[in-house]
Amino acid sequence: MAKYLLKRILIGIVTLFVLSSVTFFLMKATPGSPISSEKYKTPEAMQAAIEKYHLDKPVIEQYGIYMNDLLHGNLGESMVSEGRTVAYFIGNGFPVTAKVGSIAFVIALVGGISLGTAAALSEKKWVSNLCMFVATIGVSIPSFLIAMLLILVFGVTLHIFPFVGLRTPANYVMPVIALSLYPISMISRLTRSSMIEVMKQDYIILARSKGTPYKKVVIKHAIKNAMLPVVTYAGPMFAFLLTGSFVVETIFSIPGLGSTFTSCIMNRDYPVIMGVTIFLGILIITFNLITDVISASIDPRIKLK
Amino acid sequence: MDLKKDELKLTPDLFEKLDENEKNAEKIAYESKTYFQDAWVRFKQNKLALAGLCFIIFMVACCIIIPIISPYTYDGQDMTNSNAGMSMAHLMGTDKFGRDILVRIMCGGRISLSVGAIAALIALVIGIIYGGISGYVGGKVDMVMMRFVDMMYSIPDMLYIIMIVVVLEPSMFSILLGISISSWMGMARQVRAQVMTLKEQEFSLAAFVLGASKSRILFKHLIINSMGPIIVSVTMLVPSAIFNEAFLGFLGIGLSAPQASWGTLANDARQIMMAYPMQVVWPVLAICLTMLALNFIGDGLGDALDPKKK
Repeated sequence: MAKYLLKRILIGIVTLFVLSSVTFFLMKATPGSPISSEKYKTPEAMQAAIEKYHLDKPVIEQYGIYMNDLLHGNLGESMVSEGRTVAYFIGNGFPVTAKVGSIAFVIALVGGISLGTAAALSEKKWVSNLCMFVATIGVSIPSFLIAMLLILVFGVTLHIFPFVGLRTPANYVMPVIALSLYPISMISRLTRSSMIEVMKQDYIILARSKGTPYKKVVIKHAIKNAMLPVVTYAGPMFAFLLTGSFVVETIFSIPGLGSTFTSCIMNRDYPVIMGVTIFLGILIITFNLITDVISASIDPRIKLK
Repeated sequence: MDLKKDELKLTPDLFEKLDENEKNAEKIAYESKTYFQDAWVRFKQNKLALAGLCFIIFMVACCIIIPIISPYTYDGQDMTNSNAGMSMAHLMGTDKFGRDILVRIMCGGRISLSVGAIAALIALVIGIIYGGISGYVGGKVDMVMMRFVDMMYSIPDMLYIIMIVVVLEPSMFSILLGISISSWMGMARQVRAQVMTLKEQEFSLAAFVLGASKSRILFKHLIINSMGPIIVSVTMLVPSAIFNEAFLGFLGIGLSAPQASWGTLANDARQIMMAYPMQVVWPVLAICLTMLALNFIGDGLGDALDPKKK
């Protein structure tokens, strides 16, 4: 276990190093200087800005400074909004994103598992067909289109839910649905197929023949064992919720990290794009590591190599 | 057995007439079919997949034909007739510059569909070469190559794509590059797994014994034999490429005006959604139906090409 953990952490660190290096050199390769003469009226101000961002030094030295800053947790400063650090943007935006994202995460888990279980166990064929139909639609329609359709139907036409900002609890309904529909579909597909597989196992038959009530068998034995693929999917789902927030937050005008990132892309605010990318990379790699370790430790059949 | 010829007399009564029922015992009634003919028979039985295929053919035909026969062009502005509703002259109405939405959607479809197809093809080529070499050579090479794939895989593709498109400025080339760079890893893994299992089989050994070169065994025998699962994942790559492209358009880093893909069309329409909701509906419908159809085709192909799966 310790060896496996160490290896995974090592790979994670190398990945982060590569990600931040690639990000740095990609940004350096951008045509045109981010310090334009329109913004800095006098040559002195421009010179000061160039020195501030170390643009007068050779690229390798800039890379060294950048990496050193990164190691000290300093992600740099925005080039568009004066005096704001990348950490400021993250500190402001991430809690909002995390709030919406974690609600979507829970909804996706609960909804997906119940849909998938229903589809796997129901005697009636139409129940499983309906569940799988919902799942196919959820997989096929991109989250931002779902968001727009929701706004069109429930916001603009029916006026049921508000769709700007996050002032009231009702504001959360549509962004959360838009974000969680895809993971719900994925989880219900995974749950259904692994549930069907698990219900054929000997220990289920044994539990049933010992006279355990059906409900108890399903909850205590089947669901627990059918959850493994779902736990493994939690990592990709986390990544999906974070990247999905880019557009969903923009559409619903939610002041989270996603909409900040989108507007920085529009403004070509390179340090913030870079910083947020690395921040998200760290989060996702850590989360993937955690899910891998959890899925390995809850199922002894998975060998830790 | 020192039976001499003249001792054995063949007389007609030694034989008996073959029973009518046994006459055709050796005949193969089922017409012998190739792998793909067989798969096509199974594919046809899946009504949803067939419907998806028909829809995609219809969509492609529309995207090619409608801009040619329509009296409007995708960038022809007509300010006197902006934001018009549905009419006989403009079947889907016009946008804020008076451009015909139907023609714009079909031109957008040309871009979106070709981005999807080309990105999937690029990913296929890279994946086959990378995964094939990794799986066939094995050992240390495989270890290093696969660790690299793991690394690339652990970062969400959207981050690469955004980064590449931002740096290279939005264009067809940068979008394609971004999408293909982020989507070849899954293909490489799949090809590697296939090659690893197939290379242990007898036909691969037979080819080796007959003196076939390594690259011939890899590309002519192993890859050809793993075509089924590979085709399935290619069909799954097309909708995800279309999705990624639409996502970029939505973020505002898609193709620049007046060119438009479905994603940028949806994004443009979003800004005037309150006043003209129908303008959003058309591109959204085009994307959703196409992705749904492609997913159905992918599922159907998966069942058809891998009979063991069901």
